[in-house]
Amino acid sequence: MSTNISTSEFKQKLINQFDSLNGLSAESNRREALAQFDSYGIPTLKHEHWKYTGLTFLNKHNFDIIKKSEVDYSVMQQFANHPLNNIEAEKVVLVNGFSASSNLKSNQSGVTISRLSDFDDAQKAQISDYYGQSIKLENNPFIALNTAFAQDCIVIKIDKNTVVETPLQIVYLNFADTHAIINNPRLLVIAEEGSQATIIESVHSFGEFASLKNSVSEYYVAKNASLEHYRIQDDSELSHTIDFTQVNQENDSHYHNVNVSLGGQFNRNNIHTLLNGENIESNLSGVFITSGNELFDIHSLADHAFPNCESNENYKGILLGNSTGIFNGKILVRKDAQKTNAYQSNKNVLLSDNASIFTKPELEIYADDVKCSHGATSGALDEISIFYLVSRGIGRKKAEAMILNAIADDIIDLIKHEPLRLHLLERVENKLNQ
Amino acid sequence: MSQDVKDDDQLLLENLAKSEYKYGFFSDIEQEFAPKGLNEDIVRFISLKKKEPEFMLNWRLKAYRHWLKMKEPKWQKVNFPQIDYQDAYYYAAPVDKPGLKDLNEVDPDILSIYEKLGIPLNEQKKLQGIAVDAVLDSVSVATTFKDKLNEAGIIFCPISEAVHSHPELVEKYLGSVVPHTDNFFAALNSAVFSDGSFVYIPKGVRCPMELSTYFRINASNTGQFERTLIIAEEGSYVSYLEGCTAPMRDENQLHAAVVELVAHKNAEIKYSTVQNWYPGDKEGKGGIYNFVTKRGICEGANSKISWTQVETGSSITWKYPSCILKGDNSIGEFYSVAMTNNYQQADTGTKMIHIGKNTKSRIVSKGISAGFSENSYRGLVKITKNASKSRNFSQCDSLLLGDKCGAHTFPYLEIQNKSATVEHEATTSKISEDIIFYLNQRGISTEDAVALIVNGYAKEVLNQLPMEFAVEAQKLLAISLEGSVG
Amino acid sequence: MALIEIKNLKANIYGNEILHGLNLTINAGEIHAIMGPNGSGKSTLASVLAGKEEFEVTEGTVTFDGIDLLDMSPEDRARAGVFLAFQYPVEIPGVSNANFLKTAINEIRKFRNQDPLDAMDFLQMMKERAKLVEIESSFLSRSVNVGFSGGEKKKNEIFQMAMLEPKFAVLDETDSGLDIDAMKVVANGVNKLKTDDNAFLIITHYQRLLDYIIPDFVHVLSEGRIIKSGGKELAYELEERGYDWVKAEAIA
Repeated sequence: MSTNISTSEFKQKLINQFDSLNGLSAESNRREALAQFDSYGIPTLKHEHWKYTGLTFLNKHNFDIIKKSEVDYSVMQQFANHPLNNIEAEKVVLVNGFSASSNLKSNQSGVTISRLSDFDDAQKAQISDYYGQSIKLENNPFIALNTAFAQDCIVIKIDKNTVVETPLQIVYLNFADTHAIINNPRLLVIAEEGSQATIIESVHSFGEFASLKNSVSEYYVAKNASLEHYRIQDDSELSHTIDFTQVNQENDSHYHNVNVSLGGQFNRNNIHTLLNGENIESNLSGVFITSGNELFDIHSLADHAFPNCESNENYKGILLGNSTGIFNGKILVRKDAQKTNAYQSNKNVLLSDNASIFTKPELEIYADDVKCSHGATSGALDEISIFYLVSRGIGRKKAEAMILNAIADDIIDLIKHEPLRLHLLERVENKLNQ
Repeated sequence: MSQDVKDDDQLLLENLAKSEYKYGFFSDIEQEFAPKGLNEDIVRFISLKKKEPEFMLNWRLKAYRHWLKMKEPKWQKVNFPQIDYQDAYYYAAPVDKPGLKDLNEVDPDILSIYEKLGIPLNEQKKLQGIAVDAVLDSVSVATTFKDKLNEAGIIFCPISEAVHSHPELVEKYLGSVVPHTDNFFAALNSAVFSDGSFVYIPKGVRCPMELSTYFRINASNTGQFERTLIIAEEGSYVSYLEGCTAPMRDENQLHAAVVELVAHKNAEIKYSTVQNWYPGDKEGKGGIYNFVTKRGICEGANSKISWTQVETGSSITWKYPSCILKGDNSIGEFYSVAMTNNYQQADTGTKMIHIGKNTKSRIVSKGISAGFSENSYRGLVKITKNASKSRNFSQCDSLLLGDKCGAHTFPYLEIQNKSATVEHEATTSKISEDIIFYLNQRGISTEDAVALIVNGYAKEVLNQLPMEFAVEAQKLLAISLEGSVG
Repeated sequence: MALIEIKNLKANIYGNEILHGLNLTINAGEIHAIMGPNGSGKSTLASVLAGKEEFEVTEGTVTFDGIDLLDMSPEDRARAGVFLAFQYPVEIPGVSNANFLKTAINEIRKFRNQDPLDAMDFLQMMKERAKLVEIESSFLSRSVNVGFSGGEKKKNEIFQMAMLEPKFAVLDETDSGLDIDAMKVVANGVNKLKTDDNAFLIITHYQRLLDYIIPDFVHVLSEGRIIKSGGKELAYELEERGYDWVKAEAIA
């Protein structure tokens, strides 16, 4: 099942598959992306952004890029009984990045969900200011890889002043039943002026073989719009993810991201927010629980380009087994972004002698009238709290579980969608009681 | 209270020479140089000039050959034009007067340089309680209190002398903490270093006075490569101070020093630096490129190494005084104030590598940026697998004076032991308008208010310095602040 | 001659006018109290007199000791003898009280062409004045206001006043948040410092401080103007009857 190939062989193998695919982006754009991917190559530990995130799994699984024609939608049956298929939400189910249906109409007025591959030229022109415009291919080999190989993109548009009552859920099903696959899903969300919505992304892997979801999502949050964005991954040891999410916010907008990761062999999340206006509120938060040989990595950036904005980042990690956690959060305050308030916190608990956490909270500040701070901690569970609970007659194991639960729940409680929140609270409790 | 009044910071502020860099004079003394450029012959020339034993020459050549394969590091947040390593002199020294036995024989011109710097070297005037090794253009020119230290068994001498008098110690320890393969500048230093200080404190000895090296760059177009090695045997203690100045010149000069500290069981080394190399002028012209590798190893159990630095000079500062906490229960500390103004760039911090059990480290970094400067803290706290119950606390604060400068924090925390506790905090802010107004209302001008607040902000670090250095450091901070309040 | 004369003073913050033409004259040797409801402009008056930048004076004059106060920088006002006891004293980490006061005193002395105080004289003076406000000498080596209780901060304001010997001191709600013992200490300090050559302006919300510092005049400030002035008995009347009747009277 696993034959090791060298990194350069792996890269070449992907490049060789380029011509056999019908890409989504314009040919010239795809070629440029391929060239960027080729010139950067697969990152190694010498690349600052991959210093702690080894990609050796890429050489192990003999991954192939999946083609649209190869997609087997039958896997949707396997997902039918999954609890996350049964929370209240309007769902878009993608198998290896593709939707079975071309008719993706939303039941809610003011919301359009469509496949970019179905767009005519006029429709394409309408999104030309958005699609691919917030991301850079240079020095981002996986965005370049996605751009070169993406074969479809889900486009969600929320019209001006629309308040979307039912959350929209994008379900990513990775399905690798005959060989290891890489899929390259693409998502574009446009929340127009004054709109409000909740978007849930969840990732689920099926099949006997390894899968790598190499996704790129672009979120545009217009003036005065408000977006809740939840990303849930509670997945198997064959699941690998490299995700890049770029969020561009305009004046007076609110964006709140909650990332809950409870399982998955390799999970690299990049979340970049650009605060491209004034009076913006931008909150990133997340909790991860890793065990076995899992690796969870979050790279975040809050890019303050204008004055009078506030950003908060709050990430927590609980690490068991031989697992590895990586946090790299950066607050960038550009020259004109006076009166910025930016806060960042990363707290980790190591529960095993073989678990490791690498954390790098960065501040890069070019404006003086700012209040910026960050804090990062790592340690065992607080003995004083445990003793307090034990002294009240609670067993030690139970006391530890209670405190761990409290750490995770602190983040999960930020999820406003009640069915999802309750489901996750229960999952966390089960996981920590194991 | 009386302590506070006597050590009155404000008197210092008032005494400030309201001048710019006051150590910027150049002294015309007779010097000899190696030919310009760097090759194996230059390395051999330096070794020959120093009459070094063969192990030293071999060591230098190994470093030189390794250096050829290395590249300048690029990860630091500083910009400077490509350095032409062939366009500099790698050896400059005052012309040797043979058979120099005591200070009375030192060239009076050299003594006068140090007198001008406030470091009198001759017997009548020398500073009480501080033994000084004076290093001019990387060559030690005089060491005071040698005899008194000898009585206690302490060796404090130029490293070029130690190579002859104690070759077994030099061979054993040189490069043991910072190997020649460590980084580009350490490799370069290993190949061409000309002098520096050597300190050896025998078992159980508490060094009776502060040891100090005063570095002075004088020659132009000359790279500066000193090497300092301090060994504290079991149960010993030493406090070592380092100061540095350079003439004002339009050209940039490279300074690539290496400092190695070894603390054995129960030993303690306290290493303090007030770095005041010429920072360049208001337009950013000239100044020292200060690329320095400083590292100490807490080799034995219960040992302690404490770094304190006040960095106000240099056009570029690149240094990360670090501690390898190998012995169980060993302690590493790093206290730093880095002030940048005009076009200065500083990328400085520390590394605390926890290897032994129950090791502790503490990092307090205070960055102050003004003018068009860039000031970065970069630090690593690494808790290895076996470093059970280890603890680290880091506090990294940045103060911005003006909206044209930058303040950055890049901490790396790598934790591989579950019983370790690591806490890192950082803040960035400007001086509160309310505090300035409060001080104004008490009759204090804005410029003095800023100096007062900055000194208060840096207090926790300044308090770590021996008194004389604390006084010097406060003056320097105030001078460096000049022109930063608009 | 009047020590301070405020004529038709109009001031705003961020375009919002707070003082609408205030008139007040205080002679040396007098204690004046200004009372008034929240938002009447009491603290604005204190800030304008001290020269806080956010406040813009659009009309009127303030003459202090014969010179135009509004033309001076905040530090020069302080050096000339205007002192503000802040309602919310700031904390200054790392700067000791002693160092701070030594700096301030010598700046003021320099302004007045006096020689700086040497360390011994300063120390002596500090010990002596500390007694006046019943503060421990350990307090003097602590950072300015850092970790001080509300009462300690206010005592520190009065202590600074004792050290700097202003001609004209404004106490901005110094009584707020003080227990009765601390208030007595503050009042006692003021009474001891009072001479025929200086003057005090006590800004307060309640009459109780005025039981201990007896004012010569009491003024009612409402909507940015002084609408009634009287003797110390006016304070009791305000305490008993509130401010509405004065406002009604002023309109009538």
